[in-house]
Amino acid sequence: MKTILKTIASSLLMLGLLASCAKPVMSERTVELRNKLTQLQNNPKLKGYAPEALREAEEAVKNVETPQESTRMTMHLDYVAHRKIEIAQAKAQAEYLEAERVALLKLPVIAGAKTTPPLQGLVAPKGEMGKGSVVTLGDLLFDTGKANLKPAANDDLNKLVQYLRSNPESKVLIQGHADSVGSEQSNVVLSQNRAGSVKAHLQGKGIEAERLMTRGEGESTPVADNNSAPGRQLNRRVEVTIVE
Amino acid sequence: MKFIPAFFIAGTCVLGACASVPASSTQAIAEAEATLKVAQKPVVRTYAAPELVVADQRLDGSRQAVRKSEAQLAELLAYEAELSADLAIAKADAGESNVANLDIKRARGIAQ
Repeated sequence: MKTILKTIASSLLMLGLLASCAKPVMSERTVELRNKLTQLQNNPKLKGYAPEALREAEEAVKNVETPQESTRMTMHLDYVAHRKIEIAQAKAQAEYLEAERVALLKLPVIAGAKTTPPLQGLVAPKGEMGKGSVVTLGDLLFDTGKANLKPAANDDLNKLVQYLRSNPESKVLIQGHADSVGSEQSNVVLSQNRAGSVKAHLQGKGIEAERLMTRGEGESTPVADNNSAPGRQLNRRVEVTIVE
Repeated sequence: MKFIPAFFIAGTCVLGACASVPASSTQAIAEAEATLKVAQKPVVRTYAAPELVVADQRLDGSRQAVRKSEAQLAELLAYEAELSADLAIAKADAGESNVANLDIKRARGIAQ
């Protein structure tokens, strides 16, 4: 009987100790996170952009401000909150830049102004071109919503033209792509038309039509998230692949 | 003797539970892998290479946790990997937009 009572008493003591060890845990960076979020929310330049991402960041910070049962969960929520705030900042920045771009494009271009090819203009493969090389023409090389290739594309496509002239047996596949805005059918048409413009340009440089295959892929193969403006811009592209 | 079949059944159930990977962990890893695949573009590496490294590390950690049957940890790490990859993509988007705008400004003679 005494043994049983001792055992029960010891067990209760152990349980009590364990219970006192399992105190709810809070992140030490709660205040830092809240300040970081507040700064972002009050940033005058970014106000009103990426509201959904900001809401997610707010929710994540609230989770951090709630004591958790384990240190691991506290660390996890801390990490999530940091990332969500940074994601919200990057998305807000991208949306702000998109709005800025719309305004800038309405301004007149200065004649003779030298510009570097934009990263979203043409992306050419580094090093030697060969079978499998892909040249990507970005959205900025086309008029908005149209298939006309801008003059800026002329210089950019020179390397490809030189390759095709030097390798008369080679063939390319020109694939137009679109973002997810608009109907699937209209996107297929636009992407096909843009691929056609690139083909016409290359034909104008003396490349035979039978070496230039075109295809409108529409919105079927995005390379970025269509839920963001910059993502949609990346998806609006033409890819020229050297297939032979 | 009567208890032996019961022990066998109970033991099998316990082993079965330990050996199987909870669907939520598998789902979380699959989602992280999908996001990381989208993030594996040269343009994303240009702007957010550190975030991609962290995403890779977290995903590796998640897979190890699955091997050790630590389902909850696997799920947490997979989600952290996915968030890192999301951040990398968002930073690349912003970076690309910034470069594009600078070029437009140059073409229009706008001071930066």
